[in-house]
Amino acid sequence: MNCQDVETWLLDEARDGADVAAEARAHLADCPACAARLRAERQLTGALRAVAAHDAEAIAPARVEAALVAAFRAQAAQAAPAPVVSSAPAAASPIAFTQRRTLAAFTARRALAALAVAAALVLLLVAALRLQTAPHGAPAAPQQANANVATPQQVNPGTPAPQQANANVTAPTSAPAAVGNDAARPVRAASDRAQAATLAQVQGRGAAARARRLVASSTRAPAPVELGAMVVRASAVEPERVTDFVPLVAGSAAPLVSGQLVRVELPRSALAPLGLPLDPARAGDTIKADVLVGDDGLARAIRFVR
Amino acid sequence: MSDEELWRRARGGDEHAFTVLYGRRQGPVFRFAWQMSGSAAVAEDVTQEVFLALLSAAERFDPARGPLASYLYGVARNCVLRRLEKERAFVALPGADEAGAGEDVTLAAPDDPLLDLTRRETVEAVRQAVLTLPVHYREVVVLCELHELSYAEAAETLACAVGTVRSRLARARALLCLRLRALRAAPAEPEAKRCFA
Repeated sequence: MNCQDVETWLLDEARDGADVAAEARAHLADCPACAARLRAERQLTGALRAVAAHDAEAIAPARVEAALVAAFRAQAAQAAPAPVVSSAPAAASPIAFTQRRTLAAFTARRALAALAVAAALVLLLVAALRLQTAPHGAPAAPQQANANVATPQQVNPGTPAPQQANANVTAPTSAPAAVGNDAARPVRAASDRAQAATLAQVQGRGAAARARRLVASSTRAPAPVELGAMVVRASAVEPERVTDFVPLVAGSAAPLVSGQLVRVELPRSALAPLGLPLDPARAGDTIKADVLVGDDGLARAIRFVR
Repeated sequence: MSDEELWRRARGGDEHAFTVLYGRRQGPVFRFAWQMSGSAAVAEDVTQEVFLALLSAAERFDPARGPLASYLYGVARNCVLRRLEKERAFVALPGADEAGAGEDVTLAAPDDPLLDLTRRETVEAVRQAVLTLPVHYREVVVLCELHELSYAEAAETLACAVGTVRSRLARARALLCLRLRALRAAPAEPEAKRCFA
């Protein structure tokens, strides 16, 4: 037996203490190199076992289990049939409390939502600043802002353009961005036209009347709001008074299937770009608002809370 | 109750079965990731990823193809390799560029590589030496030596032949002896060379 032959069992002998064949034993007695190697392998085995014993009690921190159990419960809850309901920010994903990167799929969605909200806020602020710097009596800024979210031909092709724009804000149409408490019910062309006409009249009386209507509508019993394929229901026990949702994206956006309602606080000046009345004396105050953020990260609509 | 039975119950929504299964298997998964990466934070992430994968894609585990333990090791291995691949762009592992180095290892009789080291020093020295091994050697050392898997179990986890495991282990051990001698010669150097920031 030569060194190469001995090598085939040397590893097992060093690891498991396998019986040394007589021939191999004879070779080891005659070959100092193989004998030294066997000693080194045995030393290494002992050292590796020391590491294994040293590490034997190492386990993952308890927070990992907590996060996984929360994920398990969330998955179990998803498995149960439930209506698609967007809720207040408190109803965030149950595993969102963990900041581990392994939950990137969950946190990325939340980050996207936060980014979208931030973008919406910036847009609102910029529009508000533009309005404040525009000359008095020039309604172009707010109307332009609303025109950006309107699809006039879907509401009432015969209505003059500026009125169409605002009418589309609350008219119940099948457009994905069409948002409003009245929009919860199935689309009915006749009632759509009637409501659009009503809105046009309301708009003719000015922004204050429009705002009164918006706020007044929120005092009714909460009705579901249809947003594309998604239905949003206000909490029945919610004591707050809220306006209708005001769309923030164009009608060509993808239908909203699901999303989150994010509560934010805005300067009151953010009301102006949306065509709502603003008391200049209170422009520096803040107002609460709920921003509806779709799963695609787009801020779809906003409503104000009193 | 077997792992597979716990897994079946957990799939059916039994939270207790899931927690029992987690309690039973998280330690090996965590230690495997830790010993492969040298980072407890990475090991924590990997452990979470592995069990999240078991939750979200439970159908990927087929009991007919092997035990759950091997499946979990396999998922953990993939997670660790992804991490190592990502982080290699930032910090080069000492010895990571030694692809095939094991093939050139001479099997001449080495001196005792652990001479004069205390037990604690030995543990640290061996841990560091394992971390400097190329990944395909490191994983067989971790599985066969530190987790005491059989060649067949390691081969199942690594999706390779038993002979491959055996030959890699022999070369890995030879490399370890060399590294340990190098560490003994310059004990202060190697620790700062891994970074998982």
